[in-house]
Amino acid sequence: MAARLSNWGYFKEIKAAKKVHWKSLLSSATSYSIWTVKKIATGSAPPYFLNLRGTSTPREMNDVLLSYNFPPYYGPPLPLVLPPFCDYPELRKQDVSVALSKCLPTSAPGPENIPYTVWKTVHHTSPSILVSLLGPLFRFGHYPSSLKKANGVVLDWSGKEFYDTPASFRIIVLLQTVSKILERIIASSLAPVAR
Amino acid sequence: MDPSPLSLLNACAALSDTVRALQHLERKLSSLFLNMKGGFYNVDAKILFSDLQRKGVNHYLVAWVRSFLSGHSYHLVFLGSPWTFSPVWVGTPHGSPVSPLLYVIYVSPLHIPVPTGLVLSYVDDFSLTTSSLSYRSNSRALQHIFGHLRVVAEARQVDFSVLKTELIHWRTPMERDPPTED
Repeated sequence: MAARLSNWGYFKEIKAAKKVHWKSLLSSATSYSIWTVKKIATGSAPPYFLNLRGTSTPREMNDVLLSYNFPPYYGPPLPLVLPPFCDYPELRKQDVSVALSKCLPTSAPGPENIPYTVWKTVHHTSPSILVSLLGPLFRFGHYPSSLKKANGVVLDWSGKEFYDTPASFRIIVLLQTVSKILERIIASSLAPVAR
Repeated sequence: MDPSPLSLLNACAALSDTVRALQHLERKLSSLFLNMKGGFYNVDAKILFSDLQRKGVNHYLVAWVRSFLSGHSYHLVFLGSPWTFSPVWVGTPHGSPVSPLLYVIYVSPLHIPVPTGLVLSYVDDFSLTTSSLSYRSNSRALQHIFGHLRVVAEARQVDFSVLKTELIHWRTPMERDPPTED
């Protein structure tokens, strides 16, 4: 009987502590944590298989979604030989630091699965690594194909009547974090042109 | 708050300020809000390169953009999706910090002058604001400006979404009745 009472008391305390924690979480929610709070409150939607009209295999669905969202286009060809440029600025450690300071540690990484916190630690420990990696890309005006691989997360548009066509879905692209660091540095050079 | 001139906040403040200033001069104001179809996917690389060169952008940057816009491959993530990367043409890639800037440069010729009004844009959203002594005149002026804008947009293979187009006739708190056409 005493053991049962003790057991009951233990779970009651746990429940009370959870209630207090939930209230505190709600009252201290910020614009960053509000989505975590929502996820805890409502729970995640269960995963489900896509069912697109006219397709029977995941590969067919993959092809339909890709051809709908990214219709074929043939841009100008890239040069086969990369001549070095003279008008490029030397990449500095502080350029990388500024770009990294704008990167949120909570941002989802791309297919390489390296979060920004790793690059921040790398740059903090040895600032020359990222400078040596990214610097030559400025000299040759090049964006390597290894950085062009990205994940496209398929999400459904809310409020659609049917979910059997590619138009009912959107694709959120997750680029590689190291690529986005480089792109932020380039963006700071392009910003005066956009203004 | 981002104090840079590229922020959405500044665009809203500029619109609000223009509306109040012209209303103070007893003028009627109307705004047409437009959204571009397809957005980043519709960027024509050849046109963008010639724009960048015309604006005197450094050669290494033009070459980098040329390299950046081509040869992407995506792996779609859904339950049961095959683990393969498929080559795609994505215009200016979504999710990239460079893409909004490249898009702004690409659509910059769409900033046509509007007499006694204002043109504002934030990436793929455009607003045309005009003022006159009546809402009817504003409607006619906006139709005319939109016709011109569409011609410029077509040359860049950009189109506007009809479903997302909105017209607003700005009223002062004193004007209680719904706006009439004259």
